[in-house]
Order: sequence, then C-alpha cells, then structure tokens
Amino acid sequence: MELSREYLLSAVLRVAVALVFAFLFLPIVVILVASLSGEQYIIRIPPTSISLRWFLEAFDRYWMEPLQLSLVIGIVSVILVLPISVLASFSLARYEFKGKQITSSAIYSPITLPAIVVGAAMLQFFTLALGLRGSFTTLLIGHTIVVAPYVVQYVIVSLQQHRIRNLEWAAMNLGAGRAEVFWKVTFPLIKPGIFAGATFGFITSFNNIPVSLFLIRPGMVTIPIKIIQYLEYGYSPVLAAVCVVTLFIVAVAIAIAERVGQFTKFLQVQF
Amino acid sequence: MEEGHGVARPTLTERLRPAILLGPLGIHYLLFFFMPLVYMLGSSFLKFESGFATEELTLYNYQRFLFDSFYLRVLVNTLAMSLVVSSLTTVLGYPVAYFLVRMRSRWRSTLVAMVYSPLLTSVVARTYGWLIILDDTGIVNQILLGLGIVDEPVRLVFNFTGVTIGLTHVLLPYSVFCIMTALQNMSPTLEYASMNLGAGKLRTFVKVTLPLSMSGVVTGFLFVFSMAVSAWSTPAILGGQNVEVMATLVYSFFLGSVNWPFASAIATISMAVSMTIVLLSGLVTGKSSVGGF
Repeated sequence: MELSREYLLSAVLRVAVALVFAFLFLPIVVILVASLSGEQYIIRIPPTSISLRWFLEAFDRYWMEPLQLSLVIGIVSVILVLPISVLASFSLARYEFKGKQITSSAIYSPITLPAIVVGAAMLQFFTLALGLRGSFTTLLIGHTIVVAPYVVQYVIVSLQQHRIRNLEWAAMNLGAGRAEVFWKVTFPLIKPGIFAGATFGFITSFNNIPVSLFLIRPGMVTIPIKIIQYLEYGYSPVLAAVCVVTLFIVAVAIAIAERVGQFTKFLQVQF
Repeated sequence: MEEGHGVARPTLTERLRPAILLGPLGIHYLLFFFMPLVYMLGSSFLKFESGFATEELTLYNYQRFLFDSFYLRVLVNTLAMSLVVSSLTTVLGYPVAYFLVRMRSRWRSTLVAMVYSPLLTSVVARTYGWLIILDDTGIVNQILLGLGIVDEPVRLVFNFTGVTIGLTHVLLPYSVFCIMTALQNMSPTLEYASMNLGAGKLRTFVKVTLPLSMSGVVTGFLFVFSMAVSAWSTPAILGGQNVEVMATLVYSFFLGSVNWPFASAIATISMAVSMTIVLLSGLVTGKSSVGGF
C-alpha cells in the first residue's frame, strides 16, 4: 500500500516537471515552427504548408543592418570592458579591504537596478549634461555598462578555484616573478572564465532591450528593438524567421565558448 | 624577508593594490553609470515650467505622482502583478528544482542546462512566441474555437493575463535555481533520519524538506519580484496599449514628453521600489543578494 502511494507521488512529480518543461519550451518551439510556415498571416500549428521563404526575406538589408549593428556593439563593448573588468575581479577575489561588500554591490548594480531606469538616466545625462545625441558611441557606452558586471562575475568564479592559489605559490617558490606567474600560471587557468564571461556579456548585450531603447536613433537600431518596432504594425512569419536567426547566433556563440572553455559549467556555478 | 609569513607589514603600494586594480572600472562606472543616476535624481527635484526645466528646486514632481490616483494605480498594479508572477514561478519552480536536485541520472546536467537555456534566448523571441500562442487568432484560441468550447476568441493577450503568463515564463528559471541552491545545501541525512523514524515521503517533505528549503523559496520569490517590478519588454509587447506598469510609464514619459524632471521622479520612485525589495531580500537571507543569487 505504502509503496504504491510512493510510486504515485513520484509519478505526479514527474508529470508536473514534464509540464513545466513543456511550458518553458513552448514559445521557442512555436517560433521555430512558425518560421517555416508557408502561410501569410495566421500561424497554424501544425502548419498546413512549409516553406523557407521567410528566411529569404529575413536576409534582407532591412533586418541584416540591425543584426550587424547588434553583433558589432556586442563584440566591441565586450572587448572594451574586458581588461578593466578582469583587473577589478582580481581586486574583489584576492584582497580584503574596507567597503568591499559595497564595492561589489556597486559593480553588480547594473544587474539589480531596473534596466529601464538605467537606460533613461543615460539618455538624460548624455543629452543634457554631455550634449551627445543618440549615436554609435552612446549605444556602445551604454552596452559596456550592461556587459561589465557579468564579466566580473565569471572571472571572480574562475579566480576562486582552489588550485590556482597553490599553483601560483609553487611557481613563486620556484623563482618566477610576478608577471611570469600571471602570464604562465594564472592567466591560462582563468582563460575559460574570461571567455565564458565575455560570451555571456556578448549574449546579454545582443539581447538587450531596455538600455538600447533610449540610446538608438532612426537608422541605427539594434535587432531586438527592430523586431519590437515591427511588432507594432502587426506580425508576419518573417519575424519568427528573424528571431530564429538571432537564436542561431546565440547558439553559435555558446558553441564556441563551450569549445574554448566549459561555458555550461560556469552557468551552474553562478547560482 | 618579505617572503616571511605575515611578519612584514605590507608596503603602501601593496595596500593600495586593490584600489588600483578597481580604479579603471570604477572610473568607467562613475562617468557612465553613477553620474547618470545622480543626474536623474537631481533632475527629479527640478521645477518644470512652460516647457523647460528651471533651476528651482521642488518636491512637486513627487507630489504629483503620489497624490494622483492614476499613477498610484499603476504602482499598485505593478506590485500586484509582480506578486502573482513571483507566486506562480515559486509554485511551478519548486517541483522542477526538487526533481533536478534529487535525480541521479546522467541526464541531470542536460536538464539543468535546459532550464537555464531560456535565459540565453532573447526576450523578444520568447514574447513573440507567446503572442502567436495567445492572440485572438492564436493557437489556444484556434483550439478552443475548433473544439467548440467557446464561441468567440478568449482575450488572453494585451491585458494583465498575457503579461503575467509571459513574465512567469521569463522569470521561472531564476526561481528554479534559487530553490535548487537551497535544496543542494541541505543535508540529505535529515530526510533519511525522518524516514527511518517512520515518516512517509510526503510527510518527510512537508515536515523536513520544505521548511529547510524555505530560504531558497524566499530568495527566489523576492528576486523574481524585483525583476517583475522593473520589467519593460514583456509588459510592453504582451500588454500593448492596455497595460501600464512602472517601467512602461518611465519609457513613455522619457520618450513621449519633454517633462524630464517628472519622468525622472517616476524613474526614481521605480528604482526605490526595486531597491527596497533587493535590500529586503538581503535582510531575509542574511547575505547580500546582489550578483550571485
């Protein structure tokens, strides 16, 4: 009797978990199916006809220009912010000092504070205090702030591996100087962390909406914003195709990061 | 001698090193992150007159928000919606977290990555997916109409229902991971002890596991709550014209009006609400919940 009840409980749990997983993946599956739809307006599941024409339409300049801008902004902002973020990570991971807790909260605050407020504050400050209009530069500056906390977070995680400290001591005892220890021991060991942080930073920037929203100008729009603007006029399966293209780019970034350093391992460490 | 263990006092450069390492990022943050926020805070106290912000200081912008039932209702709606969303993510997230922590299969890390993966896909794509599912001509309504359950489409989107569904979806992974962390930190021997003493699985769960994982439940709840309060994309896309929350209010006042002092006051209030929740979360869990969760 007791046994069958336990069996029932575990079956209920399994069904509940399966349903939640279905809920998690439903919209993404729908997007994938819709992007292959042969119909014009209404998306029927299962589709009545299948075609690749929406992908052909997605590869139009109308979508490719914003896509290119998003790629460039994501990559350049990561490159700009990477060295200074790595330095800051060393300070937080290796040293004890007064106000460390506050400093680290401050560094992570672009994640915690409402992004829409951050974007709005940047717009106001850039326009009124610095006299800058929405441009490539302002968009780039905004995105460096979006990216930095993630890079710091990942590099700190990789600096906290226990063996790094021991290997550094060993190298120093064997007579290596500070710079030599860094380039020959520390850096190779934290390289996967740096790469994971850079990749996560790129993805965050690539998908960012609330900060971009305030720093774009007509003719210079990132891809998520372009999709939102298009949505205001109604929808078409071409949007699904464009979404699939953006998902594909993120997947490629993850695949590269997975090869260079174990990206997915870092994702779990974060929590 | 310097190599001696902890005898030599650190030199000045040694002591300044953490500050030097933090310097460049600190300056970058100061110029492009903290200055804009301080500027906004300052701007929220400026008097706005005949189309221009004056130099005069005033509390009027805050009074205007706090004594107007329209704005107050937006604030209350935002909080109520976020409360529903964080409750839903907790209820849906708990079984998944429990399952993932307890399972002993080689598929475990794959499933964990699967829970994480929505966080890496763009909110626009996922939200557009919901639009296809929930719209008047969407999948749910096609099924309901097709089966003859309803005669006319059920309104599932461009209202708070749609936004709640979308936000629950977007924020669910956070809740799962917060609860997972708490369950992982709990010693499984406590459960064995309970079962050895004759309690069944269900009783053990209710009396032992659930209370001990409460810290994760609360952290997850508050984390999701703070994210929901400040979300813009999902309310803007799935809510359309009919849903106004704090974030959409901030957006429309900054880009749709010239009264930036009032817009700044709305943004400041919105930030204060969010910071209160984050601080509360820090108090409850006894650690700073910023960054790592």
